[in-house]
Amino acid sequence: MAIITMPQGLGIPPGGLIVGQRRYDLFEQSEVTGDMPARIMGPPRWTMSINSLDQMPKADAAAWQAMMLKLRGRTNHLFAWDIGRPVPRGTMRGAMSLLNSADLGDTSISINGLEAQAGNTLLSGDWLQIGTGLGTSQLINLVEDGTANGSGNLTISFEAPLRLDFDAGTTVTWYQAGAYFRSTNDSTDWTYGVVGLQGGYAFDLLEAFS
Amino acid sequence: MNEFDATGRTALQSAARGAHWLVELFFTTGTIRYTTASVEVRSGSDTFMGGKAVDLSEAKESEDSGNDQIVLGFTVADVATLAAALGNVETYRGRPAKLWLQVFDEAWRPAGAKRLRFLGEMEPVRVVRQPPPPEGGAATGRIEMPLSRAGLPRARNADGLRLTHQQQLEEYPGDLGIEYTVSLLEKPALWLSKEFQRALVR
Repeated sequence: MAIITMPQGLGIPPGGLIVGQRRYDLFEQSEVTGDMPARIMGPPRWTMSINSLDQMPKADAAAWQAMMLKLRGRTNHLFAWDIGRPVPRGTMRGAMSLLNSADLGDTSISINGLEAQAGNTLLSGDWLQIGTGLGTSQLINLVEDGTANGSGNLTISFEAPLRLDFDAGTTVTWYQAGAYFRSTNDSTDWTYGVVGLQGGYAFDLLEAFS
Repeated sequence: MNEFDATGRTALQSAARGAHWLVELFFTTGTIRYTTASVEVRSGSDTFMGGKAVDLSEAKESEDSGNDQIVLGFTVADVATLAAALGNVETYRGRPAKLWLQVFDEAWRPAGAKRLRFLGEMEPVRVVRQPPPPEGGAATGRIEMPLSRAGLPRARNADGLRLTHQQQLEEYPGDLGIEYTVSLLEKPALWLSKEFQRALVR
């Protein structure tokens, strides 16, 4: 199985990108008391649906076509990021890493951002990727704002809870923070329109942990 | 008593929790650990491989010596699992298999220690195939490994466990203590009270 990286500069029309989270919970409700216990069947996964323009130059369509064919249906992985938010809404930049080790199940971590980032922020909705590699990294989404202290460090709260333990010093990526996905479609097709134009690429992705 | 510890009980009493099986298979070539969870699970000092589409048949407890088996199912799509399950049968037949139950909290963190729920032996695997449906689609298959309680093949015939008159004579010649066991079982006697018997005679 190979890992395909999403090409840079994919043209996505308005409404052509849908990002979400899928949970795997079972619920039962008591008819008598109304109690609704939840059974957590597994960690949640990020989802992504991407659609191309219906009509685009063949040179642009080639990038879509190659990406979809390289995926080989559900066989290979796609490293993809939220094209609608490739960088944080906050102002914190530069090299980031974990200040302390983080344990499985944690929803709060401390980031070491160096002194130059003092006073900068990471805001709710920003994406960060902890670690690198398939099965050794996790994409998280911040749920609260945070401001770096004088040393450039800040504590952030996020979802989903960590699936892995991470050591102190683990790289934290903010630029095009992504995850590894697999297509949920078995077939690939596209359309030709006006001479010289083609498009209609669409596929759904579900995060894969391994 | 085989019960969950305080952390496990707390998770079970909460409104959101999870539970998955942890499977330990003691092959002669080494111990393989799987979990029915979709991700790797670390419980104690052991790591259980997840995401392997492992499933277990219904596991239930009863006070009698039932002859049910628990069937461990593997997907044929995972090459590594296929290699382990379809290897030399002498590496696993009759060897121990343990099933543990691990509780998780709402953050998908193992809550408390795992609890041993089944100890048995591995039996030879079988491959179950489903042909493609008539309307089109892919053929599917799975590998099933039955897990049985120790001594189950002999216990499958419950009568075989009962000591016979001949077996008793072999060990204790002249002992006729269980000579009429079969007769008593085949022809149950109705026991009457003394008063009732006196009333019949009168």
